[in-house]
Amino acid sequence: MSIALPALVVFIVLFPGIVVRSRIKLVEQASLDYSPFGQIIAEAVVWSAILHTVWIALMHVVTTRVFRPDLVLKLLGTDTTSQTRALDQVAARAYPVLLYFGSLTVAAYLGAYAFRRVVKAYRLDRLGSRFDWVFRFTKAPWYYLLSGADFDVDHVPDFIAVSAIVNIGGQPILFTGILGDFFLDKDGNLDRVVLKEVMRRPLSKDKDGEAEGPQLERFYPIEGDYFVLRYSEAITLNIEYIKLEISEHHAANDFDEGALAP
Amino acid sequence: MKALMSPLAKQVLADPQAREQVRAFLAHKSRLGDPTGAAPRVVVEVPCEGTKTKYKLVVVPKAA
Repeated sequence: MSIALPALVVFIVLFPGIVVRSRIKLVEQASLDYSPFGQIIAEAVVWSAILHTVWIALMHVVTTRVFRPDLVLKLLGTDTTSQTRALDQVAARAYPVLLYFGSLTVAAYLGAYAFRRVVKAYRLDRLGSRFDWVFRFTKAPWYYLLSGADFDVDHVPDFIAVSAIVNIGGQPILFTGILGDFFLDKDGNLDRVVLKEVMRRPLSKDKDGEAEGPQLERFYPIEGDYFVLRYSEAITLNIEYIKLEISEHHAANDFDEGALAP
Repeated sequence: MKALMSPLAKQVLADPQAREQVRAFLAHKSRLGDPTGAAPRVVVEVPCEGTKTKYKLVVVPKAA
């Protein structure tokens, strides 16, 4: 009891900070947090200190209740008699205490989610922006490479073309397609990519740049909706950002079928 | 995790003819020599506007 209670109190006090920190590191339900455990705890302590300071001030304004640090210190102490008395006083204020921690946890959860949405919407973590040193996931380079998050909002590409060389049966094969999804492993490294409109050809079927005519015949299209390529099996991976720029604009009845040829 | 793909790109890839044009573009790029030669045009019909718009595929330099 004398050991478990202080540990429980510390966990409850730090819990809002842990919630904020974990939610801020989430992108599309995937955590981009690859920090060491010590760093996680240190950041959670800082977040908890900030949250409790703000919430205590807010509760004082809204409810006129006064924070009792002496009760917290007694709960964290080793004197069983003081702990028991402090517990009795906390129990007598059970509803306000529950309201405090409950509201703080909900605010931490929703606030962190809203914060990450704002960062993503305004691209505050974009490399080269004023506050990228604050908001950027420094340990998630694959996320920035494959999501387009580093592009200015006016120059965001439309899709990503991926080419990969894979050794199959001792022969290097070039796969090329459009990136649909990607997955990271627990260490933040690229695990696999999901491609669409995939074609393949032996690397030996390179043609001289002077060659004219359609190049599509050198490729074998892979039928199917998705093609999953493990990063560990790729010898090289090439990434290009492609944008669709308006070339011409016609009314529907003015359209010339003959203009389709490349 | 979803990769970068704009609504326009999804619209293009939903059109079978435009999809073939995109494949031709990818095949044209993966050759020796100058990959920035004349790229095929992808044609996408914009729905509900009574227009057809021709787009050209352009490689965008990576953000610095």
